[in-house]
Amino acid sequence: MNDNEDLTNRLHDLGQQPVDPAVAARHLSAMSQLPARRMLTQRLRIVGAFAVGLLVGTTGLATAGALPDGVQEVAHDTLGKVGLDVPRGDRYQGAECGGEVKNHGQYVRSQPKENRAEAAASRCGKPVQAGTDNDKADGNGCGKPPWAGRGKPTQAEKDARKTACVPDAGDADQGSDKDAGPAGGEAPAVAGVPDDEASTTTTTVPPTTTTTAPPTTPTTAPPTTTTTLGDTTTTTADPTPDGAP
Amino acid sequence: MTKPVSRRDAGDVYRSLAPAVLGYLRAERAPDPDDLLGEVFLHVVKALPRFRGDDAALRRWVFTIAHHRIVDARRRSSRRPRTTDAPVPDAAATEPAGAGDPDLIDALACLTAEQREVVVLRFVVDLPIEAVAKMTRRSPGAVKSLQHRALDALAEQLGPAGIDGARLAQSRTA
Repeated sequence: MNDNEDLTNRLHDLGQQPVDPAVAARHLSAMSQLPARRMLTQRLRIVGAFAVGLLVGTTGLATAGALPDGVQEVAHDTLGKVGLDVPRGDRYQGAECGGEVKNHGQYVRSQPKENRAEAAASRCGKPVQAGTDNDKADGNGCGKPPWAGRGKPTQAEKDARKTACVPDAGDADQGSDKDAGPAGGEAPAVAGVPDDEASTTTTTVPPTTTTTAPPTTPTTAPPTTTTTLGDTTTTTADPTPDGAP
Repeated sequence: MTKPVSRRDAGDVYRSLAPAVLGYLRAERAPDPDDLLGEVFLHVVKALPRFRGDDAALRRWVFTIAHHRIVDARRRSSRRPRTTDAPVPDAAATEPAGAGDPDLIDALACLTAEQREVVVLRFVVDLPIEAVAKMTRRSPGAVKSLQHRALDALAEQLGPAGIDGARLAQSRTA
């Protein structure tokens, strides 16, 4: 136990040895030169000002309708609850949509089941910048075909396509559906010519020969001077300018 | 309600705690203990306006900062080993004057990290068992056990000659 007391005393002494005065002076000087920390109230003020600025900025953007659609919708709902009128996100709300719809899914669900395929293909409730499916169908096989998602065509639609795509009544090989153009009376690429023929038939126009006439030099009559002396009138031609042929 | 230690008292905090912090840094064999001591107190001064508590809490808080600085310094020195262009001395380096008790520091280095931590906080820093338990996140019983084993190991390391030598040194200084 005595040994342990000695040990603990030695350990205690290790923590009692004074710091070198030069080192202590250096440390104290460095501590005094430390810049003052901002107080808590100052920090709170900065944070508060930042929060208020953020709120005002976001509300301003929301009022201007300049936020992205999703955020604009949230801003519309949230600020609407505190009495601020903020426009909705920019969504397509055409007359065919039958009133204001929140989004495309809500519009499709609101339709009867038998019409949902058509409703899904419509633009109602979609963001305006989303474009249409027809934009993607560029006729080169890219994107969805224009008739995609419109459900099974009725016999009347099939007949309408046939009549729309057959240029001549006597053309026998234009009866199949796959060659038919898009439903809804869209005009084919080449009017009056079936698609496959329009892509293969080329009309060669014989080259026309252009005859160019040699440049003609305009003949200018030399100016004349008329002098009247009593009853006699003399007409004199001006001399040709120097160097002229 | 305890009053916060104001910025004006930073110097007093340094004067009262710097020797113990330096002893702690030396006992933990921290690299460059004098520089590290300055670093510890710069952190203390920065955070002092936010500190709330009594003297015992202040002591615990300062040594927690010191402990973190030691960990950082070790990490730093392991990542970026120091290089120097100075010539290698022919003779073994002698401990600078007032660098503590070299035998004891060497003996402390032979302990496990847990034992050394407990024994240094307990006796060099002079913290009560409860405070050491809180700082090291151990139960007071575990601290007592570690302390007991650490003292035994230290006594074994130093041997009777070491302890007698220390007694002799103490009697000379007295």
